[in-house]
Amino acid sequence: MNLPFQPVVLWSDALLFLLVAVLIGFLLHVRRHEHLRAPWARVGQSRVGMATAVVLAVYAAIGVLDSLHFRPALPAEPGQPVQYGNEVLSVLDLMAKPLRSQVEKTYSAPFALHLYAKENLTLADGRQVRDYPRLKYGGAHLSDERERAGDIARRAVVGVAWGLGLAAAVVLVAAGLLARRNRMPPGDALVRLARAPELAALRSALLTLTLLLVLAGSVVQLAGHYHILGTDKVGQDVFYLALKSIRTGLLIGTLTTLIMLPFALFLGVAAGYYGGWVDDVIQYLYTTLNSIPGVLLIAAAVLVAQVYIETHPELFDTAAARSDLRLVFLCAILGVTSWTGLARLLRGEALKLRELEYIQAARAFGVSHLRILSRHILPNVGHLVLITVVIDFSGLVLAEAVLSYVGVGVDPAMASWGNMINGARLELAREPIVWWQLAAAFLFMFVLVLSANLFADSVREAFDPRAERRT
Amino acid sequence: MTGLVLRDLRVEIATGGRRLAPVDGVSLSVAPGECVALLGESGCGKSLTALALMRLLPEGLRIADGEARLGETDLFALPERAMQQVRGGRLAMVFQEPMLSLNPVMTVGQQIGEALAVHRALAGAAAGAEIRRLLEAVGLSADLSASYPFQLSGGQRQRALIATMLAGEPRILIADEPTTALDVTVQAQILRLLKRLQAERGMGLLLITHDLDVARDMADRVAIMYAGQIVEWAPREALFAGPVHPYTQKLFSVLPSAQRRGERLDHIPGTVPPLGTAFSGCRFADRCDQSWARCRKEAPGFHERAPGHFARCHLMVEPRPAGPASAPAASGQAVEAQAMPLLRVQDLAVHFPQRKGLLRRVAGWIKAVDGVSFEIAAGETLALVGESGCGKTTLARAILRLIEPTAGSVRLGDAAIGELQGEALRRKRAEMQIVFQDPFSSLNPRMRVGEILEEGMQALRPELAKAERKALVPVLLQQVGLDAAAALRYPHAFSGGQRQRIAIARALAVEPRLLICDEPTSALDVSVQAQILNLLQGLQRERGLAYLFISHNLAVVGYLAHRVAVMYRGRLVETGPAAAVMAEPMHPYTRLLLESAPGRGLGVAEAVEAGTGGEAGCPFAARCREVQPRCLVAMPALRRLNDRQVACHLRE
Amino acid sequence: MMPGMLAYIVRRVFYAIPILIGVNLITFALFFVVNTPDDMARIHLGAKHVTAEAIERWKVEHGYDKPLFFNPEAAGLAKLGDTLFVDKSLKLFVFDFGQADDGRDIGREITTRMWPSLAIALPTFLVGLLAYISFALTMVFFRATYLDFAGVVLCVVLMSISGLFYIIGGQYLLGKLWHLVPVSGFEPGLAGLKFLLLPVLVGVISGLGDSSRFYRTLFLEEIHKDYVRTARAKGLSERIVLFRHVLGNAMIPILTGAVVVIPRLFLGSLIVESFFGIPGLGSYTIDAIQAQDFAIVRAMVFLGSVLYILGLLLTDLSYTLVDPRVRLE
Repeated sequence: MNLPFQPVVLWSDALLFLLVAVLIGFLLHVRRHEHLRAPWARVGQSRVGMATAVVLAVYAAIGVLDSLHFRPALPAEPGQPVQYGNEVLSVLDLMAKPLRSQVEKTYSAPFALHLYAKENLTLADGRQVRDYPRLKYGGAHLSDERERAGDIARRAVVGVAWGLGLAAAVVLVAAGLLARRNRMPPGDALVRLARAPELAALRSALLTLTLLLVLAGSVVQLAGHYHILGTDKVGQDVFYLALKSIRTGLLIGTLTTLIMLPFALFLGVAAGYYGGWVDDVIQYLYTTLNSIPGVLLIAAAVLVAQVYIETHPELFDTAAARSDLRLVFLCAILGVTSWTGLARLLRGEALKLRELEYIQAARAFGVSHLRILSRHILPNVGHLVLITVVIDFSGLVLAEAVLSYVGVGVDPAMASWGNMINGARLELAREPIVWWQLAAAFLFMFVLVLSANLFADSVREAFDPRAERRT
Repeated sequence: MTGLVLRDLRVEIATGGRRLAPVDGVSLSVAPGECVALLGESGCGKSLTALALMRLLPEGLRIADGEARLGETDLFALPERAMQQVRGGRLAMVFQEPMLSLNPVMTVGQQIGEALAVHRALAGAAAGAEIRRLLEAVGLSADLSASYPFQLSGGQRQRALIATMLAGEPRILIADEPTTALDVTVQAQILRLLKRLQAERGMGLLLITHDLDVARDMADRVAIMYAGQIVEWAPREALFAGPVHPYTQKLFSVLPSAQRRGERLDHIPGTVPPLGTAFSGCRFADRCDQSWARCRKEAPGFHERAPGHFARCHLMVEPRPAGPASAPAASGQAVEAQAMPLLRVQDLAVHFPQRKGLLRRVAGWIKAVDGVSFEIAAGETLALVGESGCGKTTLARAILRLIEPTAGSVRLGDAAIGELQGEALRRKRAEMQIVFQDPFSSLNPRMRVGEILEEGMQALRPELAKAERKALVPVLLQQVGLDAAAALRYPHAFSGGQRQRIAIARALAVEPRLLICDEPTSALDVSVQAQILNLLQGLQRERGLAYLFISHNLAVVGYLAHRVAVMYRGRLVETGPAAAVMAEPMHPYTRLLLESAPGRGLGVAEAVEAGTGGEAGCPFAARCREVQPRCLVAMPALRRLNDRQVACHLRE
Repeated sequence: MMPGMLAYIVRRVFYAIPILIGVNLITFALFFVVNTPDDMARIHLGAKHVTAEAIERWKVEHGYDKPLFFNPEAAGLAKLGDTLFVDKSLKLFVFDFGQADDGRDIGREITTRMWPSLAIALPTFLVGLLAYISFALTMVFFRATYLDFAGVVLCVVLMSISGLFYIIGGQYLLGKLWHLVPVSGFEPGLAGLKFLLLPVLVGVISGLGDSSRFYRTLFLEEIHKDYVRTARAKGLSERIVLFRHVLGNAMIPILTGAVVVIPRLFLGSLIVESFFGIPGLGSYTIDAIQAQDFAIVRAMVFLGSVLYILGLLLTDLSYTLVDPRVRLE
């Protein structure tokens, strides 16, 4: 079969798909059980929870689009078998093609028309001058540089209009669904959507979505013609890099959890439930791991992995596969250093639970240990696991930046906020300062981590049994 | 008049846009030197009434209406700063949980000193002397001033708390269930202390309790509370001679006692209306067997039946129209036990090692259960009685092999439980099951009731097919008086009493011959307790079940048990037929327990609070009023005297 | 000191031994089993076509020319003793850290570099603790008001910013724009005070959101306990209830929770020291990581573990000081 592309599934992609599958399975499971649904319904009632969920969903969508990888076919000779390129692209790359391909020579500021560094230019009349040259792509469609402000404003307005239009469509669809569910005329549904106090959370979500759509509309209109967040040292579009970094950040925040969760769950619960020597061994294990300074263990492990990758180049067919393995390895080692906290929490909870009378009753029935663990203990620590996972996420995203700065994070060639900060730091001494790379990384990270933190808060409020008792 | 007068108190809580009133129009008064008992079941608003008086309502609740006067002071109108002077000063309050109500990191002396500094401006040596005086006034050694709360027993902590509250020389003391968390012997001591302090100081005492017998011993006047209102308000003698409100009457008739043995207890149908119920008439109408149409339409007024005796009931002013009379409590047949022993426990011991030193060597043993022997016949109820920490629960768990016993044997029918392994043990487990004390932790909140009932069958009756198991669930539910629809719901949807029914159904599912009931009603209100006791008796009649009934409530024991075993510090000190033991206790400890039970006027001499006995002698010697020299050196053995056994040198 | 306490400490020290052996096995496995000394030599020598002799020479120069666990060529006990494991791991137990790749003695470097680390880390720790507790207590005092809400929002916002930005922002604003303090550098003694201000400030602020919010929850949990109600029922003012009763009890988990990190303050902070050019152990470690000097990394891992275990011991001891309920035996 001669596809125009060859699908590529990197290790991290596979794990991400697994994670998505697990999430969907979890969702279906929750839907079927009333006691699991109730706390999620409380999250759904929280305005902050819903608004941040929308932001997180947008990030997640970009991350997933950036995880559908393929190798495009090279222009083939007739009669020859199709050859595929060495470059691994994603669907996001395809959608943002102009951003990826419009590479300038070096730094340029956001919306700039000129490079940030002076060069020797040859004027039309043959004279040599030293000046800031025009960018190859940024604002290249302008015939007159003075049109820039007007052009930007015009495009932004069009973008905002697009965004508002889309948002209006979404609101209408929501009202329609509401009308069908409550069997009322669509007009009444629209009024309810705007007024009803019990739909406040939904309104917050729609408002957030509207803001994001308006922003997206303007970006789509502008990004093809300007470098809206400037370019970096080698002329790459910073906005594009920041977008690509989303996948890295998300993967570190989620895959780490996916990898460490089985260990933490099993070891923590087993230590608490069985006690005795099992507990001793597991406690020894996590005290030992805990006693090694986290950054150093990560650094050592990543260095070792780096050496291994460098000495075995034959194992990787593309550069993407190489940096991907390093990413997965980083997640694994982060998982090793971070399971201990959850394990200790679960141990304490299992210790408490095993003395509870319903577990004693099960033991009086001669129910097997494995069944007690799976039917009685696990379901009753689920909320702790969930709260921990959600809270850990933002910490991991932040950790990536620090580790990449230290040089033991993701591959230096991989787009990540840590690498962006690291690159920009060296230019801080420059006059005038190159600020846009830092600003972009800051903005993208801040929005993600803030949303995650706020979302974690509403999850904790909804799931914490102590909060439950207060109502 | 320097007493406390409360008029029309309304406490509101705002949830989900609605304003609910857990306390709705409560009026009462406490005169100096008088004890008023505010009595009601859990959730009726009695504690909130007290906290409102102190203006210490939890966040979210507020005093919406009403007036409280302490002497000339309008409590609800005082600015917060002035109220602080009243709190712990003229008006003080003692709380229910002595274990949690003292600051764990401050000494008792410091905590009393704080109150002295605020209300009497005492400091230094003067404060020290006053602290010692207060500690002695509540029956504590003055040396305890330097102790931390964790070094004190529950009773001592409650005394320390009372001393703290006396520091401001209150005119009125509110005591919120001050003895509910304590053993009956300690309860009697604390109640006596309160009574004495009240008399000595001419102090008014507002005693909040759920226990009619405590009210009978303590109160001059009693207020009965139901669903946020006072339904009856009367002098003690009048109330105990003839309660007039149907709810109060029910409270009396649901109480078990030795005199009611074999009778089916009366019960109040339904449950306490949940907070937020909209009432159109009398709040008790739905559960009242004397109600008629008017009760549901019109809220009754607070009518004075006799001087000083009020009741909130239409019956006070209008006779009930003729109609079907309420069914009298059905009288059941006492169950006769059979002769053949079903359970035989021989010299059972559970010792926990105490490790010490560098190498964690076993330095000593905590003898939780120390050589206990008894038998239970099929269809018989043996009650195991003793104070908390005496080893009752450990004994129960050791019989079930939830804890491995250190020594001794347990035989169920013809098999020695201790020697069984694997499949054989599993099969035997089906023959004995357990019902626990706390209905809230005994059901897994993440499982449906149906799944909970099936779990035991799945493990112990593997011969049943899945469909057969499922078919049994509604049968079981119906046996314990629950609707078959309950199978699909989760435990949180049920009240405490309903949960306890589910726990009983879970045990019945595997068709046991012996049911161990570990304080099955002590967490329940008296009206619900009656339902559970009736259920247990009915099941015994129908199925010939044997019960090992663990309890500290002697009234329940006297009502239910055929035989009683009294446990003290891991050993049995007396066993025998229930009626005989209750009427004529042979061991001084049994006598102390019986005399301490509330409802007998608190007329016993002060007993020593739990001390430690010598290693060699009788463990009870340190508390015994009849102690002899040999009690301190020789451990008395359990000796048989006709159909009874007693371990006391005085009976040799 | 109670008589049982000494036995307790001795026992804890004994317990530490298997943990340190475990730490050593993990690091040894990481550094020498997954990647053989040959691999290391190849990386260090850089070029792709390294001769076998060059590798051997590098191994001899750096002391990696012995077998891992068992030396068949040595005699007697030396069969087990004259190995890399003994050389590189067991010697750590007597704090013999050996030499770095550049030939310098690691032990001496550590003793000179820990003081600059401490000069930054200790003030950061102390000022931070004070600031976080005060901030949390302020929020609790004004609980359920807009001030409290604003405080929590501030905490969440601060938590959501990467520590790197605090450093970069601080250096830019205070150092470059306002010229209040030097951007980076270090000088021992009082003269160096000006170099300490910015790193300490940045360190404190970057922990503000997380810790204050955590402490606030601790305080709030305590404030709903029964004994606090008793204190109010005694007629104590809200101020005394908060400061004497709530603070007194909540300080137990806060202080004991903080004690565990005290020994590790010697190690300094990797990031802060590297940004501010502090010649401490943090920047020493980060340089070693970037230069792939495994001898230093291993030494720091071991040291970190020892200090952590020490921290756990101090935590337990500190309980006996602040909590009358705890008695060690």
